[in-house]
Amino acid sequence: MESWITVVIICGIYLAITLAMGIIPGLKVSDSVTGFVAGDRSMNLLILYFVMGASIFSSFAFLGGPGWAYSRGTAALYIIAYGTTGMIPIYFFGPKVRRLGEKYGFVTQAEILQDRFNSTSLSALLAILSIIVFIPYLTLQMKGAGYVLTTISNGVIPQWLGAGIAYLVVLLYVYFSGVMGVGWTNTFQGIFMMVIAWFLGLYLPYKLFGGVGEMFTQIAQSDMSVMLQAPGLNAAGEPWSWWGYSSAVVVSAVGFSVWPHLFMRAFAADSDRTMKLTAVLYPTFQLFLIPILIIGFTAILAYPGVTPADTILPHVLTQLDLPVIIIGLVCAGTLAASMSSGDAILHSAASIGVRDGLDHILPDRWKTDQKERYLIRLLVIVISLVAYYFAVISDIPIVNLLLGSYGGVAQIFPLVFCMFYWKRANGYGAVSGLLGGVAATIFFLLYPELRPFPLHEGIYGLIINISLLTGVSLLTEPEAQERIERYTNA
Amino acid sequence: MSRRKKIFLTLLFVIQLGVIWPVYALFDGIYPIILGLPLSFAWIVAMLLSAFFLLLWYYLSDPAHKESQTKSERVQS
Repeated sequence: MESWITVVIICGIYLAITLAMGIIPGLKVSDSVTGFVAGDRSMNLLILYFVMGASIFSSFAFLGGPGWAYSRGTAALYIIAYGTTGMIPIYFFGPKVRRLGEKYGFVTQAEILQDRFNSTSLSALLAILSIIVFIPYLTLQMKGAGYVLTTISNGVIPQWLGAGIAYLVVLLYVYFSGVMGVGWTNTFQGIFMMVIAWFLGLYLPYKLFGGVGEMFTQIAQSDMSVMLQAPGLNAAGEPWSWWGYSSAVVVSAVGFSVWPHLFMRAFAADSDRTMKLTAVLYPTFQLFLIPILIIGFTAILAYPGVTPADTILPHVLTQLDLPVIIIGLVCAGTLAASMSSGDAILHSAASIGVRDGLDHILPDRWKTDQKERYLIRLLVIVISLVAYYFAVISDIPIVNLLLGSYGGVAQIFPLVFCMFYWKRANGYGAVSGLLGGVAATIFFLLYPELRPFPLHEGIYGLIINISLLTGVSLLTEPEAQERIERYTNA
Repeated sequence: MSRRKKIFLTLLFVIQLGVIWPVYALFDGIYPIILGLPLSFAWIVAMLLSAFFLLLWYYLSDPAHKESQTKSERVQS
């Protein structure tokens, strides 16, 4: 039997196990919106830990991470740097968000912000922002999955079929089980990809150089040694400036805890303790980026000149004489990374689209729990199809949108902070801050030459955002005392 | 603000500066190679672990958390 068939069979078995793991837990949650979106608020520490961890580590981690280390050296450490402090705010606001959700029935980020700031336009704005960011994100995950299956089958499985099969599995378990399907599959996929990453990260340098230390020593002695000097190289291959690196780390760290699909998992936590411990333990998940980046560093001297850099992992796999079962497992690991992010995003995009978008325009008779759940499921299918269209049919470089997304998402942070810690913040301030911040971010993303300092565009957004949020709030009436106290005393 | 919270926020700020300019700029070189990793890489890993232990300490020393524990112990006894 040809070796690629074995690899495809391994991936097929993997997909079948994932499907089963995704459908079974959904049978246990209630037939309600809270059951579908927040798992009846019953997620324990194990599940929540893996949902948060595996949702973040997307196909970007498996393909882009090594690609960055390979082409930009220590610049790739940026991914570890922003995660060092990025999850800490969740420790503080996560339990508050959870308690308020339980008390008032919130299941999305926009719902709680809308209530605190007494503004429906804020929730509509957040719904639009979330969906604009999520669709390219999901598209990228689908492309990653399709790419893996096409590469390992020597092109026998075309891109459209590979992406289609992997995401049909995701669609099925998100459709049937909602967030509990995401939870259980992410636990399974998270463990799986951690094992694969550590194995490869230690095995590759050992096989090619005789060890990790030896590999780095050889890079240090070669003319590539500049790659190991922090903060590495920029996209153009020049040394990256400290301004550029530091501001990118700060913006990503600020935005990290308020990504809507991570934030709304606070509503699924079963207790404050679970929420706090998830934040405490998060860096242990982050450690798995170490072997991922080592894979990229290993290839610097061993396989120079591979373009595009993102293909370095599959390239190394095809070059080495590895047992076919290992190649199969690595491919399944990459699928795991793609699907465990894709499912969380798909689920969140549909939930947000209905709860924060459609709910404002639908007639009241549509707002029963059962019909809402039906609509969310319908939107799961629609969003899958839209992302699939961009992933395999359209040529529009939609992925470029993702570049701006970190700066855009970071603009939600000041609102979340003021929700609990600044009594004077009101709806006018929140809406103008968010609008101004996002506009400034987009402006400086499109016209980088107009930036006064070479800082990440999101920094300019945050400056405008915070100025408007404080200025406009102080110039207008505060929200009702009773409303604010619910949040400051939460 | 409690002393515990002040210590926490100060150390958090130090760690944040540790992963960007200016503190990271002091540890941006290749040598010494620590546990097989160049200094610039090992430093970031050390900061990640520091942040982990800082928050772990903050969680374990949480008075509310201790109180609720004793409460549940009381209920059990």
